[in-house]
Amino acid sequence: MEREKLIEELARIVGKENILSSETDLMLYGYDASLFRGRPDCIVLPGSTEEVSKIVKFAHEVGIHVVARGSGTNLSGGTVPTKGGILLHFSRMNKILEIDIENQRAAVEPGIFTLLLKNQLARFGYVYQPDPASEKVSTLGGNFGENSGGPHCLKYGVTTNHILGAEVVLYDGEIIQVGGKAFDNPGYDLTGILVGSEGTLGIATKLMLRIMPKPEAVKTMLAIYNTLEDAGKTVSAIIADGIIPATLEMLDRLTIKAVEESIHAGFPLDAEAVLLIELDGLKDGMERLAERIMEICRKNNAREVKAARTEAERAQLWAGRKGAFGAIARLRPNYLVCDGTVPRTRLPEVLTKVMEVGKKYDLVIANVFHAGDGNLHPLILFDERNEEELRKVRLAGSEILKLCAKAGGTISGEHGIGTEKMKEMFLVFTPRDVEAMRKVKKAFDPEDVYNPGKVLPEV
Amino acid sequence: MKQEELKERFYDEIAKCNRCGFCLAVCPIYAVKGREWATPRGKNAIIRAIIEGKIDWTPEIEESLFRCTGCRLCTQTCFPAVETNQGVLAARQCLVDRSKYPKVIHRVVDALEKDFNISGEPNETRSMWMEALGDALSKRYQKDKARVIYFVGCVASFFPLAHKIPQTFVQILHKAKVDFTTLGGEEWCCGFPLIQAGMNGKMGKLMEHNQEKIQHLGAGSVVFACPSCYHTWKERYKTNAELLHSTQFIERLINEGNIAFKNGFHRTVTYHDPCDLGRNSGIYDAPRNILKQIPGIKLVELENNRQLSVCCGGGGDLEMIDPDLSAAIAQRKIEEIQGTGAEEVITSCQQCIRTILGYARKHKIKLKVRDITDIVLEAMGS
Amino acid sequence: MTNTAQIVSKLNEIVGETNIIQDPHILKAYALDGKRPKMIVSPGTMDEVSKIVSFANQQHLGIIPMGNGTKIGVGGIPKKLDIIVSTSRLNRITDCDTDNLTLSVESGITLNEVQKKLGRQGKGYFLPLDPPFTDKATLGGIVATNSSGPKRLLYGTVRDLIIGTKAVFPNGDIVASGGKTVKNVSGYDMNKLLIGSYGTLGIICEMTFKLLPLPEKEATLMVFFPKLEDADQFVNEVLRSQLLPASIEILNGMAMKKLKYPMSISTEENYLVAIGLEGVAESVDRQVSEMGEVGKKNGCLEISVLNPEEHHSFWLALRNFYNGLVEDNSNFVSLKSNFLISKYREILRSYEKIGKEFGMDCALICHSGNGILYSYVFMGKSVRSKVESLIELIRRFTSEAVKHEGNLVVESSPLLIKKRIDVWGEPRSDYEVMRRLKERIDPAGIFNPGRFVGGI
Repeated sequence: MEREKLIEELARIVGKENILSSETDLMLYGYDASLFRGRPDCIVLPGSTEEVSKIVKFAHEVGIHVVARGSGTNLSGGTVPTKGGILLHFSRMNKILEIDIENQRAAVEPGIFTLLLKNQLARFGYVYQPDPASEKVSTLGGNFGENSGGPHCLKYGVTTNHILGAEVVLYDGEIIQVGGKAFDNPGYDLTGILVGSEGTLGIATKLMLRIMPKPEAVKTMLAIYNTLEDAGKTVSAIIADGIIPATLEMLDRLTIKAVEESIHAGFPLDAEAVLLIELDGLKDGMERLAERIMEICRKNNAREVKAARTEAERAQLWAGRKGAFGAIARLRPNYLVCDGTVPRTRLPEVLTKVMEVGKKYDLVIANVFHAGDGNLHPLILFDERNEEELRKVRLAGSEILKLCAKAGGTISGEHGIGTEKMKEMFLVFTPRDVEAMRKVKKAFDPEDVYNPGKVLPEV
Repeated sequence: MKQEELKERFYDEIAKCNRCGFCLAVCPIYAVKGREWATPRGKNAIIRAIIEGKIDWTPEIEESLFRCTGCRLCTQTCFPAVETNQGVLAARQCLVDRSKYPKVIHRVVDALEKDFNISGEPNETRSMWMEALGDALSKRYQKDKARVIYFVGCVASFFPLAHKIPQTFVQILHKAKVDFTTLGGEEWCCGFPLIQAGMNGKMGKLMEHNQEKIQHLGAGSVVFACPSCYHTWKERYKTNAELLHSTQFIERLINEGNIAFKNGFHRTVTYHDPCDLGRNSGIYDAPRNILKQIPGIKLVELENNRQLSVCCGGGGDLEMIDPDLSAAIAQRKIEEIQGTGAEEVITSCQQCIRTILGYARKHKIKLKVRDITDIVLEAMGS
Repeated sequence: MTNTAQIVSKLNEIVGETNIIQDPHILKAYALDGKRPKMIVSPGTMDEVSKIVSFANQQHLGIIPMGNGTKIGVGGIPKKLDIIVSTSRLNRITDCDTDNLTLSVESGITLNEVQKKLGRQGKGYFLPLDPPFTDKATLGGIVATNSSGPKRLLYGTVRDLIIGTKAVFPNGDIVASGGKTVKNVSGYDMNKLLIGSYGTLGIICEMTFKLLPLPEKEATLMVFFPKLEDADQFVNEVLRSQLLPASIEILNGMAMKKLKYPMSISTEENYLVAIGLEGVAESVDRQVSEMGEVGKKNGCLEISVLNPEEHHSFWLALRNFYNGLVEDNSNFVSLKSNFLISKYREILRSYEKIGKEFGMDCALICHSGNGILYSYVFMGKSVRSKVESLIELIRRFTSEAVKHEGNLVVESSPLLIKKRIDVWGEPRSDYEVMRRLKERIDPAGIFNPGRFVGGI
């Protein structure tokens, strides 16, 4: 269809002012936070479920693809329109529809920043547990598409454990309700298969979230180590002792150095690893558990262990972790955040292998990881404008995924497959596994309207 | 500016942008517009595409790059701290070179050429605000020599909503027995609007004049109540004189014992950090230290304060270029202020006062917006 | 059309003669809603399952996968029943990795056996699942039926515990999903489709679960109330607080009467709120004491803390409630209603009222923090005479649940009733997509045909 005609038709649905189609806009909506580029046919900013439904129905009728976008912070190219299409930007659908305390639910539109919702809930003393690092800018719709994680996953689970229903627009514009406020609706768990489907099965236009009272108490500790191995052993020892912290984060030597040089978090420059541990729950017994944890740290050669006694001290202990990406980002123009997950006990060994990959390609790699659930984020530093470096970075990224898969892990813990990791899918799945997923795709979207060329590789 | 210079000076800076998108969470333009062109990330992408020759200078580029208040919340949030606004201002110069800029800025640019102020009125009328103080006083504030120069700034001089600031500040200085003078009609615009308009080239004349005036008067210090004048002088002017913002100066006077608060100020207030004073100049404590000393005052901080303070929408020539956008940003600021439950909002910038108070008055919102000088004078008593 | 002998011959090749049951007495015992299987097959490996299914797919034979059959009766009347594939020989623990807090097991192993083994590892671990049919339910069945128990309040349900599955799909393909890691967003979350799919999409052969270390301490608080309103106030106060009970069960008088556990007070007209607590020792003690205060404040008749033996017996009895009724030779239907968390009181009240209206006693057991209610409606001696009223009662119960954004599933009922109603309650707007999924995954319609929602 001619662009003019396309825009004319779409203008009937959302109004001309909510359509973008200039060269500049087509370029701007061709990227997300990944290294991939695409180009939509046009961009539409819908304001309601009905508008989304009409747009999709129209797109289906004339054979145009549809790609959904929240804030475009996707790290695997999931929001990049690699095969053209209508790009739906959900920034206008960003309201909190309902906070239902007595039923422990919150209903939101997909375009709302996750943190904004959490801040609202905080006023009632309630929380929505998933805390992806991008929460201040990523949208709940985006979290839904990626099944986002965050440090709290070890104890509380990921996004899919906290989304209980959605209003979904299907490939032909049909609007269905999956799940709902009540648990255990009979039938297949369509909410469960949709979460993490990266916009390839359906577009959620309303989300039903699970909320709960915020924990009574929180206890934060920091341990500094001379070897990565000791830090890794500590993580395993804490869990073997029967304690499940809410958070277990680790920083490696390069990261520590960068953090210290940029924000002076109080890390010794020669430390090899830092462990940030947080307990939450009822206050009773928490001091005793904290003491046990600190004892375990000491037993595993921690050279220093600190515990926060006030909210200010807690913020200070977290500052290093929160400043990690920023500090690393200052070292070279660009960084690639990798996202592999391995069984927790294999972390130290996998980390060593990751460093070897860095040496092999002559690339600097710093590491931040969710030690509690084995999700590592090697940050490969480079200059995107240097084609040779870019090529090496892609190879290094792929090799890191390989070694995660070999260690009994997987190729994506939080950031999704998108377009970036499609070829690596065969590291962890057989063609039969992928075919089964394709059947699901065909059931939801038989004509491949939604986000084509993502997630499922050709067999 | 030529495109080559843009590349030479800013390519490396722009290349630091990883497109992570965190700036979208804080940019006031994106908060209102919700489109990628309105984001700092988008602006970086545009400038980069220009540098790399991947796109031509389109009308949409002009639209995007001329919509930025220079608040630098993006840089504050950005992991590698990309100075997006610097790139934007440089790109504006390129656009100006190609005559691709909002012609409305001529309103101000032409006035600056002709009258050395932003209003287009004869420059002598700069002292208009003194008239309210009475004849005798106005002579008091224009001396041949003084230790301190109070550089009033165009906004405070020409906009009635902001007149109270110089009117109040000079009374404070007088009561504190400061040896100061204003420049009257000899004060020329500091040049800030030209930087925002991408017309840095026209600044030279203004700067030379102002610098010379200061030297000629032999002043040791220049004090500004306007954070943008202050910031511009600090960044670009060459002078041996000490440069201070009014809050720093008042804090000093308090510490020296030259200001005492006879009255209290028994109200709950919140404080808005102006972008050019706080984030862009690093001055957060001086105003707070002043407020702390005032008996009876109760300060409730805004949810986003200090480095995280959200722009009121008044900066970057945006009010002139896109008044609706500027107003929409102001509306959000007002909602944030109302969220504190404070009776009044205090700030230390004439443009912030104009923007916030202007919006409130226009939409009949009951909100008291005052400059910190106002509170100080009131608390000093007669 | 292949005849039985030909089928048996082929299956013989795959599993061997000893693993095929054709004894007519046994087949009669395994009949479902009057339909008898032609044979029961017990494969010993996933590969064998795959071969069986491939064959059945080619021949369009109806397969029903089965663990120990504790919930095999849930669902509509089978359209076709040729082979029951039993998972009884798929009963190994394939990977017990307590260091990583993961456990991989084959689907035919019972939860009981797993818990016993886990309890003996290191400092002790467990799967935080406490569904009914405690000693017999297999993990495969629990997952396929999304079974849960009172502890779901604190720990969630199967969908919060499963991180990987391997299943044989209707075309014989062995399909793996997820893996061994807690976080995994590689590809679609096929695990979620299999959970609660009642064997209609795949025969689950292996599952990987998240484990937890055994809690330091456990306790049970029994709080009795004369009025439902007071019980409700009490429960709401607890739910709104930051306290973290593991279970909050409400039983009405009839439920207390039928429960195989001695009550300390009269069960007539009273309500029991049974609270299960577990975790850090100090927090358990604190909650016992604090909830006790809240109970008194809300007019409870009596509060008691069970001793360890009683604690164990009580929850066991509750989990085996259904079996207890069967032992008593009761004629009953068991229903599961789901609804808004805050509406359990309304539902309880209205169910009691409707029950009275139709002259049928109802035992009601409610997961009051989750919006789930199990109703056991007693038909008395003559089933036939009660059929019409029962159908109407079920219709009314369903409508109440739907009114509060939920639904109702008839988990067990006599064939007479099943023939007349849809046991899966009110259809919803997403059933069409579910049908499409079923069609793509099982085009020959061989897995548990006709027994699921929407006639799937």
